Amino acid sequence: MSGPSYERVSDLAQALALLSELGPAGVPLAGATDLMPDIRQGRYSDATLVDVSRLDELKAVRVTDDQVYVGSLVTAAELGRSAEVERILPILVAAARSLGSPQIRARATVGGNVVNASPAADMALALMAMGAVVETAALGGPRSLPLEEFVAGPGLTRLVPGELVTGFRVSPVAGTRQVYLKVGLRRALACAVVSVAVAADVRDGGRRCAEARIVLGSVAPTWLRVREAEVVLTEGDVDAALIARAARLAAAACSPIDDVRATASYRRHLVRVYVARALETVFAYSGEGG
Amino acid sequence: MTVDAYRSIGRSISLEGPDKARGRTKYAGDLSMPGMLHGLPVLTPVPRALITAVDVSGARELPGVVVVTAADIAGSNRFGPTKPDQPVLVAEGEEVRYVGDAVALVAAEDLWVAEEARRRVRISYEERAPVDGIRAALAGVAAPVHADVPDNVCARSQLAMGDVDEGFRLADVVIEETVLTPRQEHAYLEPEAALAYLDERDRLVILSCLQDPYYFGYDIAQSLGLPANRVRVIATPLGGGFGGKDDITLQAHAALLALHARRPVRMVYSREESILIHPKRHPAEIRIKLGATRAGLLTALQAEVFTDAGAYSGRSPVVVLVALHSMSGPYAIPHLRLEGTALFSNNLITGACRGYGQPQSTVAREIVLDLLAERLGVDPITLRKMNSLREGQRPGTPFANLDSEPSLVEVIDAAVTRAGPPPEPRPGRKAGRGIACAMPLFDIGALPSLGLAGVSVAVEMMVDGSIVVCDSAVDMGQGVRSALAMMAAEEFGVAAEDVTVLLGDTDLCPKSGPTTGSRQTYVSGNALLQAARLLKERLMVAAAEKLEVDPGTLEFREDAIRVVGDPGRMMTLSDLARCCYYRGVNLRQESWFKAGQAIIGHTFVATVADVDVDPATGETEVRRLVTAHDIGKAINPAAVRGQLIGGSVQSMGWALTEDLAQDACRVTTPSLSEYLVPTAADVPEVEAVLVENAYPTGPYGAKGVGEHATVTTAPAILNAMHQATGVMVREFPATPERVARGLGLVVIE
Amino acid sequence: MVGTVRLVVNGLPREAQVGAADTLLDVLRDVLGLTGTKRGCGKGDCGACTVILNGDAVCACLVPALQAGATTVLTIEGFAETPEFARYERAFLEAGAVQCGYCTPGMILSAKALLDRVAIPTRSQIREGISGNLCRCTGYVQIVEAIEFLAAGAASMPADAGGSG
Repeated sequence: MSGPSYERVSDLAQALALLSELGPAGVPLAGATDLMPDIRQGRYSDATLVDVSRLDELKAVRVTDDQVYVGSLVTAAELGRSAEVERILPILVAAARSLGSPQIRARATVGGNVVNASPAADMALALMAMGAVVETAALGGPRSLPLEEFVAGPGLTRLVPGELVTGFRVSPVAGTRQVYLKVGLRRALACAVVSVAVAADVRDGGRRCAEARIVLGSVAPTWLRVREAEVVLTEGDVDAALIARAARLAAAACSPIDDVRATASYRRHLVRVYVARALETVFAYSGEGG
Repeated sequence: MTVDAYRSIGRSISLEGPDKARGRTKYAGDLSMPGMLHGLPVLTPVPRALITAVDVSGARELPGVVVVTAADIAGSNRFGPTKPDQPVLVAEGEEVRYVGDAVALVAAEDLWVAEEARRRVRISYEERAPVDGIRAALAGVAAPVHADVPDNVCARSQLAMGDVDEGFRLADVVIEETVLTPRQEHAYLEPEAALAYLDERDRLVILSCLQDPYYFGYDIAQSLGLPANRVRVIATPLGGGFGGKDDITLQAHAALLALHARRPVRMVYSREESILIHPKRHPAEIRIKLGATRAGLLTALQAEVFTDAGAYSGRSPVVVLVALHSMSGPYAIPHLRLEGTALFSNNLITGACRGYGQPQSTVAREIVLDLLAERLGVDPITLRKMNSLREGQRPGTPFANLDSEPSLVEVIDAAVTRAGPPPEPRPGRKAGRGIACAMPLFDIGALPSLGLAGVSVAVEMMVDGSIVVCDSAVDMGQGVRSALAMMAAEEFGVAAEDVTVLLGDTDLCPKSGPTTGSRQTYVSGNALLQAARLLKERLMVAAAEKLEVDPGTLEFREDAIRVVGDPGRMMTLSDLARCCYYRGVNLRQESWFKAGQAIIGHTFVATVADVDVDPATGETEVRRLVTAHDIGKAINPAAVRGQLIGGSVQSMGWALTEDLAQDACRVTTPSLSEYLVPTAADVPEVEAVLVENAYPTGPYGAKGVGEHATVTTAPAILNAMHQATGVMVREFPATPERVARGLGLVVIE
Repeated sequence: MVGTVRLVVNGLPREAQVGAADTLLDVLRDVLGLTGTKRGCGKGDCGACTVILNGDAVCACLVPALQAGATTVLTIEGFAETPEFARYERAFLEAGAVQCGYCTPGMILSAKALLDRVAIPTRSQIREGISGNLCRCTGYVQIVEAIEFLAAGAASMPADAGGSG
């Protein structure tokens, strides 16, 4: 029977050499939670799976006062349990905890979550809201680029053949307020109907916003940053009216589709409600939802 | 609470549990044999088409591959519990009628080779316009699903009582609604599996997860052209059934492959195959009209029930009948006119699913009762109590010749009392409490369906005094092995753990009918008690002679037969059995149980649901479910509680998230990541309240309970959501989106 | 076949010839005959195939067999051999947490992975801890009770666990 080939690599140099040699036929294999069902369906039968799961150099989490580095092979479970990451990036910890189930989180890696580029990718949304930078390695040398430039479409990234994501670097402004909200049709093993990641540099006890990032999941071909809404928040006192305006702009900016989980119009409604709720939370404003 | 004098009855034990917890229980997919082949079905690529050619030559070129088509079938190639209209394999020149129809089978020693063989089967077909549901079936826009049924009507039922026009004339208020219920997938954790082989006498042996060994044996035999006595069926423990394993799926295919290959063949469905192929809960469209006086007394009920039967007859005629008979529920309604129609379509096939038509009719009636209560300004609980059947009152529908007193008011009070005050809503949420009631049935002997008319159970005392019970019922998690062991133990004064119960094997066990309809404890229990008591009489006569006492003074107690009041005068069961064995006393007794006047038993149920709804999004959280059931007597309280809680949560899924949706007759949610059953994180506090009014004809007073919590929970939740938001969802599952639309938050773009 | 995988299963070194499309579940069930680990969906949607791999509950159907090399795997058969199992078995049986039993091995192993990490979990941690294990029979309530009893280290459970009213 034809099936994929398989190679295990034991260090990064070996991985890059092999990926470079294989070109487009080389498929990095990490936690395998997304890939394995596809492999069984025969979708990678002409590929070579390059098992990078033993590359310990990609499993580091380094937290300093103003920076967090997360290796691409760090699992959702590890992030979900990390008190030191939670101190600086609670949004990433919340997103990691919302993913799949305990069994999935034990295996799913942050790198895989990003590289699969699903519009619903929980950890990717959180990282993007925090302005994360993707670090990659290849024989030709390392590269880093903002996460929002890394994603190219549904299931598509700017990774080139032979290149491997090694980690993510986040350097948040001190005191950035963050929240991740996910709407699923059940409380576990749920793919987001809509998800909202918001990070904001909040000033004056919640009255002003120096900078904000609002990233939406499951409402566009890929992760959607809604700059119109972000800008509005910096234009005046953050009050109920401003939050409502930002939420409306976010709803207007997205381009959801109808699928088995919800219609486009309901998703748009959820974006308005949940962006407002996320903003109310980060600006600690307790007004009426909706 | 009185202390029972029983040794086993009323204990919470699980004789099945240890092997299951240790992973030792062999389910069908865990079985293997030397030389075994792996079989796979080749399914139709489209929901409806004329098969013009099936080319298996490419598959047959693979070494060691066995391929079978309809041309290889010697028998009728048709099966079905009410009408044999479903093909084992669709032949060239015939139509495939739903996405689960198979046109060929392949088998190979290596599963990957079988997969490759399946890919190589070429099916040529002419696609036909499918009938995609109830409306399309009624409108006749496409050619009828079955050429010999031009109007697509699979079955029709009617039920009338009194004069419904007069009833509506007496009404001050009339509510008319249309309720749409979704197709439900059983979603048992064990996908179907079967192992078939020819034994040393060339008899066909089928081991599989199935709910009715004798029916499967008979219908597979005739469809494949074998006499029934050449087929042995052994039900393996079911990894969940809920009615979904009541009908033939891969068993006929594995059997056909084994006959053809003359080697053992195992088939195991993938989850997607399981979802596509096996029968579902019927989707229904129910047009219901209820009349009442200003004071709230119900005067008339009229309903038209349309079910989507899918491609073949299955059990649709019976399900629609049960839907009608359960329509008036536990209420005294003087005038009824009910019509039910099951319609063929090219959608998924349908069949038994926990509740069997009752959930559909009950949800329609119970949400309309709440709308009536709202219109009248009457409390929904008061309205239900006011209309409850009273002592001595009987509903008068032919099935419902109650042989126990109505206890609706008692179960309502029990549920409401246990529920206590509603929980405080979470911040920003709106709370609501709903109630729903029913008089669910358990089949005690004569629903017009195969094999239900009576059951047989054998009890045997071995020469050392140990007890064996034989019953072709199957273990599907309900605890039938424990229940039968407990009853036999009680009769013979031994420990339940020491009784051996043989289940589900047509060679070893007498015909006990299907394990369905919440019936096994009642019917098998009664048959067992009859057999045990006849056997005990014979043993007592023998013991009386030996002990030189009157047989009437003897009792079975503490592993011996003893003189009442003088327990030291006794024979051990071992001595007794040996004595009888040498004297030629028959130590085995088989007994046939057929219910008397009543053909259906009933329980009374009230379920209270507390929910929180997010008024900005329609998202609903069920906070608490309390379900009270008059169950007669709990033989095994923990098992009864498990049935009631588990059934409640299945019904909660049906109410809120579960929709096996089809678009143009294709399934849009063919996996467990798309068809959403509740997870542990979704489940609220659920309490089961057992009301025990001993049932006169039940074994130790027991009634059947297995399906009953699935009947009331969904409407209780929908009614609670209505209380919280003012929105009654009439087409469910009540997804957040549907609630939001009801609240006017979203409009269709 | 692509290669040989060597791993420790239930304390014993084992090996199997596998391909890249084979999973740990295939190795356990079809090569080693450990059928206590159940196949329910093949996609990580149901948790019936849960085993403990290097201390974590994982879905064996999602673990590439070749990736399982040099790991330590505990299946229900192995856990059932340990003294610790008796408490689990008793708690699950007395709570009425076992019906059809198909989810039970995976459920017990998820419970163990949870309790190994959090000795006394809250009810919501328990629900979350078993949220990757679908059960269609019980509605989870009695399973959660069993794990609470385990957490409480309850030597015996209330006689009236049946909840008779």
